[in-house]
Amino acid sequence: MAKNEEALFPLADHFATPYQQVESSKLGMWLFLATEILLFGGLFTAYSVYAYAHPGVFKEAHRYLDVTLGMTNTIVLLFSSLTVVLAIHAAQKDKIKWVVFNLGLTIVCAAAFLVVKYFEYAHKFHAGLLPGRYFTNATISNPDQAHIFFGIYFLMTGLHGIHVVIGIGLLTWILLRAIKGDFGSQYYLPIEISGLYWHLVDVIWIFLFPLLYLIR
Amino acid sequence: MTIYENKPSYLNEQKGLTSWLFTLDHKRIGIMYLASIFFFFIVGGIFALLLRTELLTPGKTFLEAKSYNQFFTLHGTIMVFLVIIPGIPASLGNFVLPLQLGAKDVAFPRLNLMSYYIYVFGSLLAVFSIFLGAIDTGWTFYAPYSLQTQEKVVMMVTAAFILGFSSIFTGINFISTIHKLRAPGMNWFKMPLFVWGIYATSIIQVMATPVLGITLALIVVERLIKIGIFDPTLGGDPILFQHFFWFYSHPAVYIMILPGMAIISELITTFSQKKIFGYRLIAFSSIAIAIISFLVWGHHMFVSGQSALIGMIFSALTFLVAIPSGIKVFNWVATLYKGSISFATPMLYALSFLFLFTIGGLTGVFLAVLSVDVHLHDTYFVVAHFHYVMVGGTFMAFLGGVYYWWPKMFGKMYDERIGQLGAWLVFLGFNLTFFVQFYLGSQGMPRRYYNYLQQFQTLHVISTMGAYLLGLGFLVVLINWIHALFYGKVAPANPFHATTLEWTHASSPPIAHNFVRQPIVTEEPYCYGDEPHHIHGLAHKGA
Amino acid sequence: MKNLNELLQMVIPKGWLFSTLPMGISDHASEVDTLYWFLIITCLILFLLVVIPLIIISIKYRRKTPLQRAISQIDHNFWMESLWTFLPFIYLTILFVWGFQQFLPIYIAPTGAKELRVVGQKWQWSVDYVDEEINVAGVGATIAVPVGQPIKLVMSSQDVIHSFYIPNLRLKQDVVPGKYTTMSFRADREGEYPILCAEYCGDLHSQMLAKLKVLPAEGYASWVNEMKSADQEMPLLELGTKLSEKLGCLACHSTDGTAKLAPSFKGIYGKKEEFSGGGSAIINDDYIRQHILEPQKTTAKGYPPIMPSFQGRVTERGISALIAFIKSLAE
Repeated sequence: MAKNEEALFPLADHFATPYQQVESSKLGMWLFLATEILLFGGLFTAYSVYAYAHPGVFKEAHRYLDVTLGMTNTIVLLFSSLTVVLAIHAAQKDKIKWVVFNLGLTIVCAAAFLVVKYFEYAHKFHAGLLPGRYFTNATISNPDQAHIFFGIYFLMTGLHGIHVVIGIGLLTWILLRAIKGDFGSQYYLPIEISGLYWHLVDVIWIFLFPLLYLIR
Repeated sequence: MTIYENKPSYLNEQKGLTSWLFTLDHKRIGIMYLASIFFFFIVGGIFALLLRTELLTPGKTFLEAKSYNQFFTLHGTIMVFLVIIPGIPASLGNFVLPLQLGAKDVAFPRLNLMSYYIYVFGSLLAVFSIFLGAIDTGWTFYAPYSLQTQEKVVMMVTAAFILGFSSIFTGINFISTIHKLRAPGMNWFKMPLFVWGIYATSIIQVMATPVLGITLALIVVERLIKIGIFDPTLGGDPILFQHFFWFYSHPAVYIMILPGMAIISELITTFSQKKIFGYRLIAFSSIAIAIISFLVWGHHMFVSGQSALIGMIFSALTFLVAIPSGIKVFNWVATLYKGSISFATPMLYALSFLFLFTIGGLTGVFLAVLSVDVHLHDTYFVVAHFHYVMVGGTFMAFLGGVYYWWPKMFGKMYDERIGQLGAWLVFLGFNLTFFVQFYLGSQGMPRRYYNYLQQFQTLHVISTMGAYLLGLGFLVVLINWIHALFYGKVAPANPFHATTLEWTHASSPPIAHNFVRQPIVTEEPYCYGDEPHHIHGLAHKGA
Repeated sequence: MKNLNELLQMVIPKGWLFSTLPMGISDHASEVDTLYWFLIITCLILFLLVVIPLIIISIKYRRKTPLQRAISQIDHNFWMESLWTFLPFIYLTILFVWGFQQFLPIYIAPTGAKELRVVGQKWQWSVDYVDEEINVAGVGATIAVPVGQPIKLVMSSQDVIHSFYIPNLRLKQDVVPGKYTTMSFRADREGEYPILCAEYCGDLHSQMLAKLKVLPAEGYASWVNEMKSADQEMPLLELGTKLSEKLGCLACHSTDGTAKLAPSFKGIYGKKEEFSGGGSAIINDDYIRQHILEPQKTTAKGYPPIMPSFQGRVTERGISALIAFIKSLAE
């Protein structure tokens, strides 16, 4: 390997080659993503159990979710996954300005997602469509059971939202490192790893959205 | 300190408290885990002795009912989440795995250190919660009781949640290490069986623990905002909790036993100087156990109100998971055949394991039989069964492993005679404590009982006497180790003439980077017969 | 019907060795015992198949000199490994089939089964006899059944999960709040047998006992009559005393002034009680009635809010009786 290539890739002490470091880091992140799928899997299971037990309640309650806002969020997240890929692509081509731009755009999308979420939650709070003992909405039919749907809604979107926030933090850190000049065609591993995490956040939403908003 | 040797090693190459607290060295992290785990073992053990003392008489001996209920909960919670699940992987796994693979460290050393601090934080939170209002739900936190009781459930459950992350990160670290950091020439079937066992364990840690995470989070949410997922008065399903909980907690028991079995493979080969019998079968059995372990959780719920059909499916799958364990036991015994068998302290623990784990495993078969389980479920028979596998199995292997790798970890030997004394006391005390509990359970004595019917007293007294003897045995082991730390004789690089890389290519204790030169592997892991076996030291250069 | 357990006990003098199981009192119990003993014997054999070779090998091949090598490095044997893979598989399949064959009938009530509705609560059992229209409840309550009569239990819980366990029948079933679970049996031997709670349910879990009393047909009929007449003719105060036990009030309310999990009944009538969250009230007839039916509306200050509702479980006469009982404890 050429000398200047070695200098650009910060090889950790315990790895023999950059290849080993890249492969290990990617494997580690994939394993972590597997754990996240199982974490959400528990909630998806709870959703299935209750939807099966209370089909009428679920059908009615989900109409109180704004499909337009949900669809907006879906598009925003899909787009942000694209921008993350573009950032990696730019790094591979040593186009650091585009790396910074695309990472920034990803973060903006993530923030936009949270803003839309805020409006959705605000509407629910206002309407009393809340989980458990906080449920106060009077217009919905079978109000004593509808809280189950909203409980699951808030749990699933809430946990997802926490992951979006963590993603913003992660991507911001990567953005700052990109601005500092840490990355180039020889080394863009952290962007890839963060990108993988961000794709997972996106994928989970792709499953959440139809289950919560679209099921007829 | 006299703990440190004169020659350079990972123990003395950097000195001072901060060099330990901020270390990235897997060996130091392993040692810190070892000390913490044994500390919490003592805490959990004290609760056990208090329980057994209360059980000397059918009525109140010296505890109130609520205190008794809190103590058995804490004994279980501490032993499961703070001791046995991190147990072997975090301590011996961390220390030995990179050495056996011929690697400098694990794949993610900083993650490793973070895992340790997460463990410490979670453990301290758990202990702290005891002082604020110790939970009394049993370590299984069944709803609706866990949703109603007034004690500090949220805090303890949060502590367990945090500890789960430590487990997950360790698993991710080990899988990545095994896949990517093996020495050149070490293909999968040249790995020692200890590595296979740790690998299978890590798969379970990564796949199962998140489900516990979400289950515990749901308990917290249910308690705090009454979301109505497990509470029947709010439309929830308490049996759903059991499904979620056991989906993790059954694989968790294989997180406990697989590393123990992994150690036994090492001990059996080294102390008989023989190739392992059926290497591939043992390796595949570990993976088979890991996979099947995810399919049997319902056998904890045969009488829970789940349908009989589901019970049947789980019973059948449970019998299936028994087969790989049986294969391993027979293979280990066959390994000893025509070997050169030493009865050094680590081997005494390995032999103990074979004896006790067989009993534990066979009594598990009783519980897999549907009609018999109806009678034995939630009785002392179950308590005896799981102590035989967790203590008689995993913990014996753990002690054997610590004794085995002791010279590698500290460069010193322990007093062999005290080691043997400790092993015998533990073996005898253990059997005395728990064998009679099979009787108690069969006779109909339920578990988690503060008071009991008069006719059970004799057996309870015997069990308590056994518990004190067992405690004494553990004390002897502890004294043995502390004495060895300060006064142990200098150990050679390979005192037991083993053939795995940590013995043949690393000094005792190893240098910070483990190996002077990257070892290159050409032979199978237990190559005892190929030529007269020398004591391999640093003089042996890898090919 | 000769119980296998008893047979063994007759043959082998050391009774205690074989007293692992309590006396079985039904055909189901005998069948389970047979399977249980099959397991003991076969597992003992399997255990010896491991331990005896282990001991022999350890002694025969023990290391005599420090650097002694193994005699042979044999590391596989296809036939042996196949043997101990497939033989266990067959053995375990037998156990599986045998086990589930015994398991299914527990949940299928035979025709003509008498239905008993069991309710568990912290910390006692309550049983309603559907045909005879009687109820027995309380710690240590006697639940009588006629000998040889198939019984179907339909069970639920008031609060948390409990488990109805009758060791002599080799039966147990969890009782779960919010759903019904069922279990059937036929007791074939007269006598009194313990019923225990087998799912941890809090402070007094180990005291949640009851008694299964298996009676001959006439004995059962007179027991039913006794239970029936007891409630109707009883004067209010006596009824109230009895109900306070049967319904489980005394598990949490004492009668002698000691504070348990709820205020003591002694001296409480006519007293002004402070509530957690503010407010107070005089403990009079109206309050007592409302609190029995909707206990979660107010909780006495300093006590946990754990009182269950008795709506539907106590008649108006029962409420009056309880009021009379509490009044009688006024200072």
